[in-house]
Amino acid sequence: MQQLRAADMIASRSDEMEDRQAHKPLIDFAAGARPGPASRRHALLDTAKLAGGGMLGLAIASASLGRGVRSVLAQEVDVSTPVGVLNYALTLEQLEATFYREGLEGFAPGDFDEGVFDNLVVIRDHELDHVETLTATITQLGGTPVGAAEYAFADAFDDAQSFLTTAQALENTGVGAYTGAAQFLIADDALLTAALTIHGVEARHASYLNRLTGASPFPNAVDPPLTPNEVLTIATPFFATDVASGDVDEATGGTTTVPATGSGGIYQSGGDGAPDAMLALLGSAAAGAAAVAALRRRAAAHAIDESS
Amino acid sequence: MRLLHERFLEGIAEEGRRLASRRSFVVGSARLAAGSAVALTLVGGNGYRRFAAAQDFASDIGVLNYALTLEQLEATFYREGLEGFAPEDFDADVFDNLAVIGGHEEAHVVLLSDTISQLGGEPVEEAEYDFGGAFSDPGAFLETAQALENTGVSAYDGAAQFLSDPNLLTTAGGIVAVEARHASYLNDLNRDVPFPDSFETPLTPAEVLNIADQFIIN
Repeated sequence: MQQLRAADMIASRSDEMEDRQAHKPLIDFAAGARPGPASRRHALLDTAKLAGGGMLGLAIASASLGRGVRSVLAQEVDVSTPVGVLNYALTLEQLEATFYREGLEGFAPGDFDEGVFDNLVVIRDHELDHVETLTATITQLGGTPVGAAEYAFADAFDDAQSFLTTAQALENTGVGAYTGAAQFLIADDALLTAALTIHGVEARHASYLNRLTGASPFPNAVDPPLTPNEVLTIATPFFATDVASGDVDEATGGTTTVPATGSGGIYQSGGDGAPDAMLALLGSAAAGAAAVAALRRRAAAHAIDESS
Repeated sequence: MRLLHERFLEGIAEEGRRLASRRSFVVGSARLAAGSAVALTLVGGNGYRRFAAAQDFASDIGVLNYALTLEQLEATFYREGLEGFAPEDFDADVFDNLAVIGGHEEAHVVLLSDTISQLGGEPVEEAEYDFGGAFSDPGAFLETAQALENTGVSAYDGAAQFLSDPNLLTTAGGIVAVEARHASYLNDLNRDVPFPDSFETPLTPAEVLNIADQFIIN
């Protein structure tokens, strides 16, 4: 299967113009063309080569459903389709964008060291851009983009330090989520590349916020990937959802669907000829596990806050 | 409408002018300005050009060797460069962080080399580099480091699509995230926005080569 794909890839690479066209939107963003929302959306429409096949992978009730409808957090993450993967990413971006948008309203530049507030505004705008781009792409693929949910940021907005610590947790989780999920886009070069161009920006944010909070900007030689289950476990407390009474698997915070065949990726240790060096190094990402553990403690603290 | 390729190169050239201009301002040396902070002259028949010139990668091994070439360049830059500096040459903690970054690049070299070997390939040999005036003062070192790290992010983002093994892709993703963390830090040290855009700029191997060519001294 992978050989077939490689052959297809080589064939497509032989057509330089077609390939360039496939990357047009990425370049539009990155080259600073900065089109407005409408034209950007249009550009995205040009790109998405994948037709249809959009099942709603990640069911999360949109805030637009209004009160009275019990929101459902991430009952299902389906990374077996591109739309599912993108909705998984969009769920995290919605969370981040809302966090910064709501949180920064309560702070002023003077609450932080010089220059920090401005950078946080830049980060907020990045997350909003990511939301917009992912939403437009999912729609173009025939899927239904998840909307913003209702979130519970607990004490994250109480003071500048809490805000920065929570931002740090969200960004580092985002990096791990993209690192872990990129493999599920391996069959689509354009979407994979697009996801990676977001992934790098999340890593830049994480580096900056780590430093602001006194942590190493780059605690590992290789960033540890997070599985969707791990990410859901970390993110769940941020959602204003009565998870306890739902049918969410307590162990995972949700359910996930990964491709039945092909790539379990690094999550299936020793699988499919993964070179020992790779596995060894990913094992050494245990150092990164400490960071994840810290995030989980943070998440647990939120859960306690909400239950009290 | 201009080709994307041309727009990329314009962006790269602009970056080169920006660096050269600031360099000229800071150091006041026309020679250094011409050489630029990113004088990455690659000497000899190394593998860099061969791989960078290849628009198509024959296999995952080719992609990994391309990455290895860049990591060797980075690792050598930090190893050789930091030998000439001391912690007090920089603001507090900067030297230590640079040493950590250098350690990461060395780890990437070892990881990629071992992986290529295990896949039955032959890791590309390390080239000889001429870093020009990059080691002449801490400011020049930091600017060159910044350019290398940002280019590294773009290189990985542009090459990842050529990997066919999901395990390798995951690891490449873990590496590029670290390069992005380095780039963010170095941008900040150089008084640039740590995260200049909402999206990274993926570069093809040929475009990465053009970045290097832009700064070749001779």
